[in-house]
Amino acid sequence: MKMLATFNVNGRDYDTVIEPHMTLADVLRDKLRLTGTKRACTAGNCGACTVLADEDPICSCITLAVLARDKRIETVEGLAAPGGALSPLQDAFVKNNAAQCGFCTAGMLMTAQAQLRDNPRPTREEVKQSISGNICRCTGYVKIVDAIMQAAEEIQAAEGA
Amino acid sequence: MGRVLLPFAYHEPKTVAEAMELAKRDAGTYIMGGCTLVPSLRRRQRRDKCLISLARVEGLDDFGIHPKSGLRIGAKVVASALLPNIWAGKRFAALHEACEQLYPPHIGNMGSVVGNLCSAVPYFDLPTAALALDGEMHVTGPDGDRVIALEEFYVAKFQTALKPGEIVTHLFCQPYKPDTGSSFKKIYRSRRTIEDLHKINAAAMVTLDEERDRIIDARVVLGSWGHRPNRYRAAEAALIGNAPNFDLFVAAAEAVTAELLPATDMDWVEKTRFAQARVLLRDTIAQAASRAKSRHDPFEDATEMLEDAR
Ligand SMILES: Cc1cc2nc3c(=O)[nH]c(=O)nc-3n(C[C@H](O)[C@H](O)[C@H](O)COP(=O)(O)OP(=O)(O)OC[C@H]3O[C@@H](n4cnc5c(N)ncnc54)[C@H](O)[C@@H]3O)c2cc1C
Repeated sequence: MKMLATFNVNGRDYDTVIEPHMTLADVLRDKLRLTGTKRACTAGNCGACTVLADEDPICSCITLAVLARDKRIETVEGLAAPGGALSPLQDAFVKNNAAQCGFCTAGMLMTAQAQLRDNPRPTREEVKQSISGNICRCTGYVKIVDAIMQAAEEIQAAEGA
Repeated sequence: MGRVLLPFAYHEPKTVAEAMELAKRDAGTYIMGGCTLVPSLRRRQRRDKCLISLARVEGLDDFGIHPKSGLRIGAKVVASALLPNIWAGKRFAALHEACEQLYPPHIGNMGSVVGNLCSAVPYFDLPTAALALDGEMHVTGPDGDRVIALEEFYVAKFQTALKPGEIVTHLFCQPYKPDTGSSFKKIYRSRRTIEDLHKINAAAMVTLDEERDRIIDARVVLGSWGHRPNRYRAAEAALIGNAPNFDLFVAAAEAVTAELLPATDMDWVEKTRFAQARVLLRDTIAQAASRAKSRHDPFEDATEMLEDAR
């Protein structure tokens, strides 16, 4: 049962042919070639596939693509500025060495992005709570939390300036 | 896992009548967020041939929570919608806490409250919490509308009292009686062996008398034990009529565990699980009672004063 569908991803409309049994992660990666979003546990447990739907983090691996057509989707590809300059959050991840193998990073960034929009001055505890659904097997999380805290400070400073 | 889903037919009706018509014609299954359905399709635990999305059906997005009118949550409302609501937190604390503790947190943005209740998965949290709040499911179906109390809603593992084609339009919980508090707690992953259930969850609602020194009504619910969450009347009876105190809560928790059957034949596993259940129940009841005691809502006093003045 093929169907034509339009997805709004990172502010741009994409028309593509999908089938109802495709997940959003499948469509993003295999149809739209936005391979930043990762497929890992495919059960909603690990957070590697996190994208934002209407600004809220969701697991794209257990979301049917057909159900995501009405939403504004944001993926990790949308974080950097059009010229390629990293966002403050990405920059803080680089500076803090918050990635080792990098498989969880796209999901971490998206969850953190949603949190910083909602709560621009989170405490460390709040950061830990919000990324509790994103599993990282390399870093031990300390550097990831450091990076998100630093990004929050930098965003605040830039807005104050 | 990692397996792809098998193809299925898919419909997106706009009205409840249309959805029921399609469900009858194609023997379809309703889908909301898909958080229960998609993983079970992927694991081949289910092989539905036709899914009917409720996402675009009009009239299923009721959302009202107020101390005077109770709690009304439409089929399309996701769990995280309850989190910023002050009355959900104050008055329907058990359900609010269950939504808050969904793990991972992303699930709250995707899964609906009603979908969680309709999944009839024995270890889900929202059924335990909603049962303690005396929730009822408002259902519309080919044979008309009906209301099913959550107590009667769960008939077997993964099976609800819904007849084919019936749609739950919303969950409703009565407004609290005065001086009532509720609470929900879970111990996540007390899993020791493959036979062991992952976790235990408990919810309680306690109502105090006008002087707030005796319990006049109580609900005690334990979930993840057996095929469905259950109310434990013996524990409720032990609470009612007595002054809320620590020993009473311990006694009530023991009244629950006295009725429980072991789930495995491994002695040490059962010892741990029973001990966990006792502590969890004791603390859940204690918290509900303390909320009933300390409840004070300036807003509510103000509306009562206004009504008196009229
Ligand atoms: C990774 C993960 C972690 C989770 N963690 C927790 C947790 O910690 N605690 C917890 O309690 N739950 C947990 N859940 C369960 C999750 O909360 C539920 O799967 C979700 O809320 C179900 O809602 P849905 O809208 O996605 O339902 P769907 O999957 O779309 O539907 C579920 C079932 O309900 C039926 N249904 C849905 N809506 C209606 C309706 N209006 N009328 C009739 N039938 C209907 C469907 O036919 C289907 O059989 C978790 C799930 C996942 C995937």
